[in-house]
Amino acid sequence: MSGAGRRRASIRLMLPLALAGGAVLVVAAILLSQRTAESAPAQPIAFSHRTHAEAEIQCLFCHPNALRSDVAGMPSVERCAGCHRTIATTRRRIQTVLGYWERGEPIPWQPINKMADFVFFSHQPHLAAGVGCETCHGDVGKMNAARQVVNMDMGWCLNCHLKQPETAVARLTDCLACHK
Amino acid sequence: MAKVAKPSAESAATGTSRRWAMVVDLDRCTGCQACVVACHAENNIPIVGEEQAGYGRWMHWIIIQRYWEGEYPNVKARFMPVMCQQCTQAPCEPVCPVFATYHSPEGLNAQIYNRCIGTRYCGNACPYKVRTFNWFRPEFPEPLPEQLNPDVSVRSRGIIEKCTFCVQRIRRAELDAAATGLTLADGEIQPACVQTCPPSALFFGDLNDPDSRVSQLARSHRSFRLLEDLGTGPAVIYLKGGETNV
Repeated sequence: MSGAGRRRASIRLMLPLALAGGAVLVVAAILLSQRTAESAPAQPIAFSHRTHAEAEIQCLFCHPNALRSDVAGMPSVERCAGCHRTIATTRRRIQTVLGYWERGEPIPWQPINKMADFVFFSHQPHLAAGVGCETCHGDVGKMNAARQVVNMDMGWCLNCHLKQPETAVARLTDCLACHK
Repeated sequence: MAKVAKPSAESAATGTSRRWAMVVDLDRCTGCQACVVACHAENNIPIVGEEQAGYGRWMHWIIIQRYWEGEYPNVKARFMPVMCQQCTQAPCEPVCPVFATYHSPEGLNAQIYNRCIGTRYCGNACPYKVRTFNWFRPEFPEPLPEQLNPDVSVRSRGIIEKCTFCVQRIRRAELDAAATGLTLADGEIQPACVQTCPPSALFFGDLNDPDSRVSQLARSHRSFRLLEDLGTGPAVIYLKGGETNV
C-alpha cells in the first residue's frame, strides 16, 4: 500500500472515532449542565416550600426584601418562630427550628440560586416591572426541596431583556445595566 | 476661551436624554487628594505600594497633577485632578479587540471587567493616561476586605480599569427614583469624588440639560477641556484657575 493510501485508510478509521468522541463530549456537557441546574443543595433542615405554599403563604411573606432591595434574602429565625412557636410544635423538624431560636443562632441555609460576583442583579426593579417569582425560580410552590430550574447565564437574561418595549431595550441591553 | 456646551449628537441619535459630565473648578482645588481617597474606597481600588508605584503601576482613577509656577521664593503650586475624560470620540474604544470598552447610550466610556482580556491597547491609546492595569492580583490587607463596596466588581489580575463616573451610584439613584416614582433633580447623583471634595471644586450632572449646574459652568469664559485639539470631546470640563487665586 502506498503512503497516501495508508493515510487515507487511517483517516477512514479515525473519522468515526473522532465523531463518536465528540458526540460523547456533547452529551456529557448537556447532562452536566442540566445537573447543575436541577440539583438542590443539602439544607440544614428539610424545609418544604410545597407545604408552606399549600398553606397559602405568599413568597413575599418570608422573602419580603425582594420588593424593596437587591436581594430577596433568607427569612430570619424570628420569622420562622413567629408561626412555629404555636404551629406544629411537636414535629421533629420544627423542634430543630425552635432549637435554633432558643439558642439565638441563625439557621445556616444554603443559597440555591447563585449569581456570578460580576453580575449586579436587583430583585426590586424586576418585581416592580411585574415579573413574577416563578418566571426565574420555577414553580417553587410545588417543590419539596427548592432547586435551581434555570442556568442564570447572560443569554438567558438577554432573552427576556430583548423582548421588552422598544424604548427600554437600549437601556436594558446596555452592559452597564448589570456589570459595574 | 468662551465655549458653549452643546448636547452631544450621539445621545440624540440613541434617544437618551442624558450626557453625564463633570466640571472641575481649578480655582477651588487645593490638591488635598480627598477625592483620590474617596475614589479608592468607593470603587474597590487596590493600593500597589511604593515599589510598584515607582514602576508607574499605581492604580488611582484620579491623579492630582501638580505644576510649579514661578521661581523660588515666589513659587505657586497648581493642582489639576485628572480622571477618565469620558470622551465623546474616545480613542480607547475602537482599539479593544473584545468590545470590553464601548460607548454607553449616556455617553460613558464603559469598561466591562469580566470581558477584558488585558491587551492594554486602550491604555496605550488613551491620550490622558488614565486607564490603569492590574499587574498583580489585587490584595486588600485586613480590615479593608470588610469595607469593599458590594456594588462594584473586585477586579482581578490582568485587566484594565478606570473611572466610571461612579456608574453604580448613577444606576442606584435611577433605580431608587423609579421605585419611588420621583424624578432625579440636578445634583442628586454624586460620584464619590464630588461628594467628598472639601472646597466643592467638582460638579457632576447632565450636560444635555441646559439649566443644570454643569451646563451653566461649562458656559463660563473660564472653561476648557484637556487636549482639546485632539478632537476627543471630553465630558470633563475644567474651569481655568488663576483669576481668584492669591
